[in-house]
Amino acid sequence: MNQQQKPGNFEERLREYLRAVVAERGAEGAEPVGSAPTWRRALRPALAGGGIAAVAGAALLVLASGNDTSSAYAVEPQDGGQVRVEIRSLEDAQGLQDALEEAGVPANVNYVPAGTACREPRFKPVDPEGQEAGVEGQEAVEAQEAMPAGEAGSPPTAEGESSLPTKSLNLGLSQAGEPAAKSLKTVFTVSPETLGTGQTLVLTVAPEPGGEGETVQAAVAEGDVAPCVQVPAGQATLPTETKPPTPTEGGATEGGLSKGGQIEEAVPQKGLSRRGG
Amino acid sequence: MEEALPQEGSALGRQIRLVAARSRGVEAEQLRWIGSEPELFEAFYRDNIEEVQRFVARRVEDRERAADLTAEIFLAAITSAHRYRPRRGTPKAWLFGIARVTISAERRSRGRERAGIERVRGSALINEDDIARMDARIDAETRARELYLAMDRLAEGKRAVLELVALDGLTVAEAAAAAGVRPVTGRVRLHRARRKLRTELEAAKDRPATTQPENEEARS
Repeated sequence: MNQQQKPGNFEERLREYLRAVVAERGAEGAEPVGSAPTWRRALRPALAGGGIAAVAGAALLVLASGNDTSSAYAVEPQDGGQVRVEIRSLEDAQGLQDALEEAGVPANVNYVPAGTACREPRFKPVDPEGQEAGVEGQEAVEAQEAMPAGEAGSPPTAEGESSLPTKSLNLGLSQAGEPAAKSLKTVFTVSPETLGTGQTLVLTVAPEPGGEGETVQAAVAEGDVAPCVQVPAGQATLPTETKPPTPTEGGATEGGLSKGGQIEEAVPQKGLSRRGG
Repeated sequence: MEEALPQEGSALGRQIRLVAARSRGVEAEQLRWIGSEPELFEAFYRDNIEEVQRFVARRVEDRERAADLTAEIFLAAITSAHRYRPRRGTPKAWLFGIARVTISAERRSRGRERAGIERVRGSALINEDDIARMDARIDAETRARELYLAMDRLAEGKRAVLELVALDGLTVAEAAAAAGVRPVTGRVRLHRARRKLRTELEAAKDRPATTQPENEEARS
């Protein structure tokens, strides 16, 4: 490196050198190999296993939410490196977003009124074509259910480049009930390392019109996410695919699953692990 | 309503992040971007360059090597920042963990070419004007380097926590995070390492100081 002649002191010259390295990496979009595909790869099977509708680039979950409890959400880092997220009531989307950020999950969270959605497209979903074959969904489902604490995470970051994180769990959406409180919550787990640089977890949550549940739309955005412009649910088009609205197959009756062209498939709520409801 | 606010992923959100980083320093939730956002990296560098240089000076006597290592440490931070997670420890603990691993890997492999490790010749950036200042920093850490060398009596796994606590002033929890172990493990290791080192040093008291293995070696 031919920087001997540059002005300033050692620290300034080193800074300029490293800054150039970072700029180059940023321009190349160098980051982090395989994480985006991993997310997508495991997203669908994990969702299918949980009885949750998945459409390319978006996942929908319908569930019943019971009477509410103390705080609107909880974000709890787990030993394995995942972050457990609980949405108890549709309040304080910004707070949840901030909490996710703090836990290492760049997120964009919007709660919208029943029957509405954010106008699409407002972000670029991670490229499904970029996936490599090889990791099947089974892995994700297992990971979701039986992740031993402290074993699935990546080795310490301090160990340097050799420690690519285990590509196991990405996003498992599930429903959990508390028998005593009779409250049902949206619960899911996210692995921060599956989000590449510049990628954002986009969550859009709307209560079901019947008041019996909520719809969670989860996607991963590449790059910027535009603010949510609320539109009637039927008019929000999906970013990547123009799927015709598929009538729900026998399933989603209980929660009054609304039309919204985003739902491909839904499973009766009793298919979910609902206890004490 | 939150919809009206600039969202995280938006250009405006990013701008806010940068401005905040410049005024308050790079915070934990921003750290993962330092490898790809030059502005953020620069803020991070300004926050930490002096600390890192002192960290190196506590271990390395040679000015050129120290400069090379300082550059390598930041480069390692750049390439692994996207895996940083706040729950794994503070940014400082994370960076010290990287610094420690970088230096100990370099020591272990000195004289050999380290395959596959990206090299930066930080020492090529040193000017005449820098020398006095850099040497002063190194001189100020003579005691620390003696302690560091004494820790060569300990196995690599045992010494990490002790190093970070005794030399670098991290708390046990921070040091454990930096070393990638749980706090309780960190405490146990610290305790054992201290005891072992004390015993060894007592035994070695009468022996003359060993010649420092730390000296310049031509490296490619």
